[in-house]
Formats: sequence, C-alpha cells, structure tokens
Amino acid sequence: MAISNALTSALSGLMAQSNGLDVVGHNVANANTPGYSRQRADMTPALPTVYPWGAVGRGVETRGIERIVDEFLHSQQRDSLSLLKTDETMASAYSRLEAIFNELSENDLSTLFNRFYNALQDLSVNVEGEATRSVVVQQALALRDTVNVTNAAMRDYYTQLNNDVDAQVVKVNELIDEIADLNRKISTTEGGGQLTANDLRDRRDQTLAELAELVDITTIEQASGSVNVTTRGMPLVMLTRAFHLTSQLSVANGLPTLEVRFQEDNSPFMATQGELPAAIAARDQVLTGFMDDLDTFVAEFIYEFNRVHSTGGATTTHTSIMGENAAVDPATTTLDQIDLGFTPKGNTFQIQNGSVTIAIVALGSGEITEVNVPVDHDAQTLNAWAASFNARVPANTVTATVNGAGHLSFDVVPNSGNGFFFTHDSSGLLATMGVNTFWAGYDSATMDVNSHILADERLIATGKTLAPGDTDNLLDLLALRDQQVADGGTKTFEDSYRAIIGRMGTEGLRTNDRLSMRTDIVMRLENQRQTVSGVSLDEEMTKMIQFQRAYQAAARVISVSDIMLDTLINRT
Amino acid sequence: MRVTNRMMIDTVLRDLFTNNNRTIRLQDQIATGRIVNNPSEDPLISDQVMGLDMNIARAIQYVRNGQAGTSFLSLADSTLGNVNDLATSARTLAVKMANDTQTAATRAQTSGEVDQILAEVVDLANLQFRDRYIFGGHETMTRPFEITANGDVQYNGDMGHVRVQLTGNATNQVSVNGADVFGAFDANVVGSVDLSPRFDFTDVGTRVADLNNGTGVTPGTIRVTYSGGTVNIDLSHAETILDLRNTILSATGGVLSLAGGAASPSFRLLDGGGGPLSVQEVGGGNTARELGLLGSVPGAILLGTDTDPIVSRHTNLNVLRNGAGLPLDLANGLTITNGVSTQTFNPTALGWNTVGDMLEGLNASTVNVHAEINANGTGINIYSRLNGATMTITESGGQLAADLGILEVGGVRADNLFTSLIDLSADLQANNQPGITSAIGLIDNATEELLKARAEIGARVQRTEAIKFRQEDEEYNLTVLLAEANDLDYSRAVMDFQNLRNVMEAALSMAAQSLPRSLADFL
Repeated sequence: MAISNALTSALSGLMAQSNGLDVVGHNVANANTPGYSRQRADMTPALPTVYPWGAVGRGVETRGIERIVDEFLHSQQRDSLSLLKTDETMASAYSRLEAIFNELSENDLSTLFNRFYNALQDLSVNVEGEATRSVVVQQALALRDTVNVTNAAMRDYYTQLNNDVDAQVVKVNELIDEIADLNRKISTTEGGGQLTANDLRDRRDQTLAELAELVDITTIEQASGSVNVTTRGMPLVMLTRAFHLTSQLSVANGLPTLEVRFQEDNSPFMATQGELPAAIAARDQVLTGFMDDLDTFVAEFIYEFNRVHSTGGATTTHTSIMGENAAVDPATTTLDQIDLGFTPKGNTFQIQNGSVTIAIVALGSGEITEVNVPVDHDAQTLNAWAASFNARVPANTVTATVNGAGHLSFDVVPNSGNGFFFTHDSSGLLATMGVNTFWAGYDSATMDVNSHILADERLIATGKTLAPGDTDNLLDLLALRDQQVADGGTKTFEDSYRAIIGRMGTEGLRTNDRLSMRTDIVMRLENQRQTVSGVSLDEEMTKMIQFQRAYQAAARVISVSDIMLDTLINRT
Repeated sequence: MRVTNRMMIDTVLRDLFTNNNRTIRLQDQIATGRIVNNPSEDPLISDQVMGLDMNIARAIQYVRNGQAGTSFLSLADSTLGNVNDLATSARTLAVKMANDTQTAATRAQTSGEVDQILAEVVDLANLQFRDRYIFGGHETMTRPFEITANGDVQYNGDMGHVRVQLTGNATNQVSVNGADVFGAFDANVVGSVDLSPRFDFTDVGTRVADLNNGTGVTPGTIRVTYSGGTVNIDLSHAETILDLRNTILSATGGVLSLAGGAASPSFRLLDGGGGPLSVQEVGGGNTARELGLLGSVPGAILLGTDTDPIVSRHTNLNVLRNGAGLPLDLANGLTITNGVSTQTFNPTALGWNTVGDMLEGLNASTVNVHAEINANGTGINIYSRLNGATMTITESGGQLAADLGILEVGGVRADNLFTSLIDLSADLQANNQPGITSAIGLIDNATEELLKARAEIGARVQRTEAIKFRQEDEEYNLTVLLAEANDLDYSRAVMDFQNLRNVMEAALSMAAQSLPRSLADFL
C-alpha cells in the first residue's frame, strides 16, 4: 500500500515537472512574441489520503497554467498608445506641410515673392524696357507656379489623408471582427470555468493594442471572458458582435472628403485619439487651416495689388477690356452683395461706396476726357452701374456692358478713335470684377497672371498717366509692400506670410516635443509590462534546471520504490 | 526588478534610434551649413531668418536701384558739362563779334556758327540712354527738344521725374528734366489767384480727400449727440461730401442734415429736432476735427470751421473761387497767343465742366502750352513749350483770365541758353552790335543756371550714393545677423558629431557584449 502510494506520488511529480518543463519550453519559444505574457504552471499538493495515523500526501497536482499579467497596466498602455499614434500622425502632418512649403530653402514662396518685387523695382528704374517688363511677367508666373504647386501639394495630401482614413476604417473593422471572434473562442474555451484560454487572451490583448493604435478605446471584461470595447461611449464590440465603421464621400472644406460613421445607425464617429481620428483632425483642422491661411494671404495679395494696378495707366490705352470675374446675378443683386461664384477669403472682392474714373483718350489729339462714375453699393446692381456709366460718358466713346455670363466689359465704340484707361477707383469695383488687373484668380489654386498682361506686357499699369516714363503707379505698387493691408489691415504681406510659417513651426515643434514625451511614456509602460509579463531567459533556464532536477528526483523515487517492490516480491 | 531580454533589446534599440536621430540632424546641419533647416526645429530662429532673408534681398535691390540712379544722374551731369562747353564757345564768338572791328558780313557768317551751336545743344538735350530720352521728364519716348520752323526751340517733355525706392519708405528723384536744367518752361504764367472752391454737394462733387489742403480726412467714426439721442456715425466709406450728408441723414433718420456754410467752404450741421448738438471723436480719432465739426452748441445749428478744399482735376469749374464768393466768368473765354499761334478758349462753348477738362483742352490745343494745377492745389499755371516765342494770355470779352489769375497782356518769353543763342544768332544776322553785347550777359546768365543745375545734380548724386552706401552697410549688417542666427559653428558641430560617434560605438560594443549572454551559454 505504502509503496504504491509512493509510486503514485512520484508519478504525479513526474507529470507535474514535465508540465512545468512544457511551460518553460512554451515561454522560451515565445520569448520574442509581441504581446506574449509569460505563463506559469500552477502546482499544488494533491489532496491527501487520510489514514487513522494521519493524512498521507498523494503527490502534486497541476491545477492550471496561468498567465502573469497586470490588466490595469494593459489598459494604461492602450491609452498611451492611442495618444502616441495621435501625435505621430500629427507630427508627420506638420513635417509634410513643412516639406510642402519648403521654407528656408532657395526656391520657397518668400524667395519668389522677393524676386517678383525686385523685378518690379528693376522695372521702376527702366520702365520703358521691354525686357524688364517681361522679367516682371516671368517672375509673376514663377510666383504663381509656386503658389499653385503649394496648393496642389496640399490638395494631394488631403486626398492622401482621405485614403489613410479609408484604409484605417478597413483595418478597424478587421480588428474588431477579430476581437469579436476571439471573444467567442475565449468564452467557449473558458465556458466550464476551469480553463483559462491564455494564448487566445494574449492574442486578444495584442489585437486590442493594435486597435488602440487606431482608435482610443475602453474595455470592460464580462463574466464569460468576453470583452466589450467602446470608443467615446459608442460600442465597437459587444460580446461576439462587431459594430463596423463606414466611410462615406461627401464634400467638406470645398474638397471631396471621407466622413466616418457607424454602419449600424449612421451615428457620428467621435473618437479623438489614435491614428484614425488624428488623420481626420490632420485633414480637417491642420491641413485645412493652412490651406485657408495660404488662400487668405494669396487673396489679399491679389486683391490689394489689383486695386492699385487697376487704376494705373499703361504705355498703351485699352480699346476693349473684359473683367476676369463674373457676377452670378448682375441684374438683381446689389453691388455690396455681389456673388462672383466663389467665397472670397478675408475682406477681399468687396465693393464699397465710391467712384470709378475713366480717362477717355482721343487717339488723334491725345486729349483726355475724365469721367467720374459714382458707385452706390447698396442701391445699384452691376447692370444698373453699367447703365449709369453709359449715361455719364460722352456719346460715341466707350460703353460698359455686362455680358450673359456676368462679366463686366468696357469697349470703345468702333471707329470712334478713342482709347481709355482708369485713373481712380475708390470702390474696388474694378479689382472685384477683375478689370485692368495684374493678377487673375482669387485664391492659391486659381492665382494666375491676367491674360491681358500675358498677351501684351505693355499693359502693366506703371503710370498714372500715359506718359511712357511715368512710374507713379508702379511706385504705389512697390509702396504697397510696406503697407499694412494684409490680415484685415494689420500686417504687411510679408509679415502675414511669416505668421503662417511661424505658426507651422511653433505647432510642429510642440507636436514633436509631445511626441518624444509620449514615446518615452509608451516605452516605460512597455518596460513595466515586460517586468511583469516578459519572458526572462535566465529565469526560464533556472526553472528548467529546477524542473529537470525535480523530474530526476521523482524518477529516483520510482526506481527506489521499484527496488523496494523487488525486494518485497522476489526476495521474500 | 525583473529585467527581461526584451527590455534589454528595446532599450538598446531606442538609444540607438535617439542617437541616429541626432546624427542625421547634425549631418543635415553640416551639409547645409545652417543650424535650422525646418521651421519646426526652431520657430523663433526660422522666423528671424525669413525676416533677414527678405530684408537682405531688399537691401541688395536698393543698392541696385541706387546704382541705376547715380548712373542716370552722372550721365545728365556729363552731358550738361558738354553743353557748358558749347555755351562757352558761343560766348567766345559773341565777345569776338561784339568788337567794333567786325564787319556785317563776318557777323552774318558767324550767325551760322551760332545756329550750329544751338543745334548741337538741342542734340545734347535730346540725349538717349537705354533708348529713352533722359531730359524729357515722363515723356521718355518722344524727342524732347526740336527746333520749329520759326526757329523756336520747342520742349515736348513735361515736369516728371524718375523716382526709385532707395529705402523701404520713401522714393528718391534720380533724374532731371528739360525744365529743371534748360529752363524749358521758363516762359510761364503762374496763377496769382487762390481759386478756393466752394462745396459741391453732387455725386461727382467735392471729395473728402480734397479737404484740408488735400490731406483729406482720416477715415473714422464720429459721435453725434442731437435731439434724437446719441449715435456713432461711421464716415470711413464716404468719398464725396454728398456721401457724408447721406450717411449722416440715414444714421439719424433724416433729422440731422449737413450743408455748406454761408461763406467759406465749411460744414453746417442742422438738427431738425432743435438741438442741442454736439459732435465728438470716437476712440481717439481725428475725423470730427478734420471735418471742422468738433464741438457743441446749445441750439440747432453747429457751424464748422473752414475745411480748405483744394483744386483738383475733378473739381467743377463752376465752384471755383466761390469760397471767396466770386464765381468764374465762364460765359466768356480767354485767348492765348504763343508765337504765331493764337486760340480762344470759351469754357461754356467747349463744354468744359471740370478743371481736368480745361487742362486737357489747353494742353491738346495748337498754342503749345502745358497747363497744370500748382503744387498747393490753389491755382493754375500755364507753361509755354516754345523757347524763343512770346506768350500772352488775354481776355475774350469777359474776365475769365483775370478770374483765374493768369491774365498776361505784356507777354512772357523764356530767358535761357536756347533763347540767348537764338537772339545772338538773330543779332549777328542783323549786325546789331548792342544786341550782341547784351547776348554775352544772357549767355553768362544761362551758364550760371546750368552750373546751378549741375550743382543740384551733384547734390542728388551724393545723396543717392549716401543712401546706397547705407544700404550696403545694411546688407552687410543683416548678413552678419543672419550668420549669427543661423550659421553653423563648424568646429563645434564636428566635435558634436565625433562625440556622437563615440557614444554610438560604445553603445554598440556594450550591446554586442551583453545581449548574447544568457544562462543557456553555461549549461
């Protein structure tokens, strides 16, 4: 009896030690598996057999194999991962924007702005030269190209962020499907209550961590072993059910934009941290903000420059000129409400009370007749103003018409021997309608050099009169550079642009600083997790020796028992 | 603490990454020679750099402008030097011919030589530089001087100047015109009457910008207390005084009306509700004061002070001199005779409405004059383009010329190098010895004028050069500042780089030693 008892105990020892060695093997094999938590065989003494002389132990029992984890640490880690990924996405957005603007280089917008103004300066020294005029046009085209390219690059980035959002929605859906599936497997495995599905749980933890990189989540473990996942109170996984996200194309910020919603009930997706919401924020706030800033800067530059340019005289007169911009409803909208088919940025493209003065030149004698036409911005429509213009100018000289598309044009009556230019416009009507302007367009995407100027460089309005050496208007254009006309009349153009780059730099720096802090936190938390759950090879080796020795000892007990039995059976 | 293998690996990796990041930034700095290459590396420095870059580009451009300016002026100066030589040789001829011993035939022959000198002076005055006439004012593409069929020297230029930016906030004149150096507009009639216009409350009437001797009124808001309460009235978008009236009317529901004062061009504010009236500034503005309306009265009428509107091209002729209560005699005209041409101008008949119409009408006429509003905006000046002819301005049945202050019955004739040469030639031809003698004095006067002009050019060159030098200094100083802000200290960067490399090597060798070690090695 006693010997067989010893054999049974030793056998249980053999089995338990080999279980222990199995766990060591498993741990060592997974030493580098991401998200793996080390396991431990949980051994207890087997229930003893109670004899009258006492309870005799029956060896060892492996009660189970447990994972060594700190659940609280896991949720902390997930939160900080969401934050880290937010900052990573933002930091990459800022560095992308810096690359797009490419400031502090030799070919950035500020350099081209300088070159354009220097070309104008050269023109003021040699205003009659055709070469100096074409240099101005070439530098203007170069400035336009940079502005257009910057805008196009930002639009490309916008599209790319849309694609990112789309890809991330797909990834979120895959991950929550997997979590729902793991929930099912875990609750099935652990259904009896005895077993714990260690490796499935590790996989789920790992999947949750991947999900947390995309979206900030909160998890609540249920009694069944399933975990419910929510983001900002909205469910993503409930037991074995996944709530999918969907991305829908709409138009926001004037561009095709993917909007993320829940597929189930079309409710809005409110998450604020993680790669997905960060991509949305980078698109809708950071990128859109800088696009808007650049557009406003460009619109103010175009409009204010054109205001000065439109009332200058060139070395040649106009015989026909059509405005670049078209009024949507010239017959009934008053001038202060004028709709040009786009939303002007800043205080641009607005008509005030004032007047426009046209100088009509009799080409034969050179005699100039100036006619001043008042602009009443809240009483006149564009058509009405054109009619009042026609009533005031002498007959058979120049007529103003608004064509079917809404363009305002001025035309010399054929064969009347006249030409014209403008000498005064306090209303902004000419610049708003794009008449006799240097620039065309109204934002960074549409900025261009007026086609009239491209066709005939002599139409750059350098003077206040037609005298070829008159540079008074050009000097006004140069002086405009130092006037506080940008940003609602608070900054010069250069300062306004510098403020944009300054904001980009400051916010970028802040994001980078935050990113390196978050990286440290994530690193520290991972170290903490490793401290608790990581596999230490030295430790496993020690355990291996421990189990090996215990196994050998148990085997020894069996062999001693065997000798004892042999003695008993064969020698007695 | 339990230290696991993963922890050791992660820590080593992170440290290596940090080190690599620093290395790449240093490499970037060493390759570009600049500390900051992206705004987010140091927003403050990058903002400074952008500002300095822009100011350096400007300073370089201003130096270029200054160089172009001085080359214009120096060219003008050397040309005038040649003109001076010609004047000297004409004087020598005159002195020689003034001698009693000269015969009529010799003098007549010398007359041709003087004509030749005149032609050469005109040639020099028509000097071109880069295809532009430098003595024609703004009329740079037209030959500024020509000798007419009547032997007069006609000036086709104007009084414009080439101005360039040499600093950010001002322009400098870098040219001289025919009127400056040759006295080409010396035959002129300067309006002797202040044309003080009265208020014109029409939609093309007096402009707010014309008030206060042309300095205008600061756009802003005034606060008016009247029988209906207190209102702030924004007048910043008013272009004409009619706009002022309409804005005030609509802001007070038609109770307050603005009109012109009795005599001088001043405002009169009338409260239809009986007053009392008070006009104040809003937020430290100057609008009310500049409109002459600042103040308060117990009654219904607030009388403003004189607003001194100037005469401008768009001023209507029928309001001129009405500030003084003496309207122009527009029903009758004036006659201008210049040399052989005569023309009578009747404003009513010609349909002239504004001062601009009158100036354009005179300038485009056949009498070769250039009419302008004077610099103070108080009157009209008429300049003859003909050097050698006499210009008279007389009445044509009324008193328009006198009203404009330009009546000139006796006539004016230029007294300059051209006329002295023309006269000398004529006197030689006519064998008029006293005339020849007096021509010497005239040439001396003209030479003196030339010298004065050259002295002024010299002063301008000096001023331009001085500003140019200042801009060169500026460029240098800014470049030094830029270097201080963003130039890399190479020795330090290279030392840092070396240091990083040492750290890197140490870390790598440590990792190589410690990572492979495990208990497994010893079992």
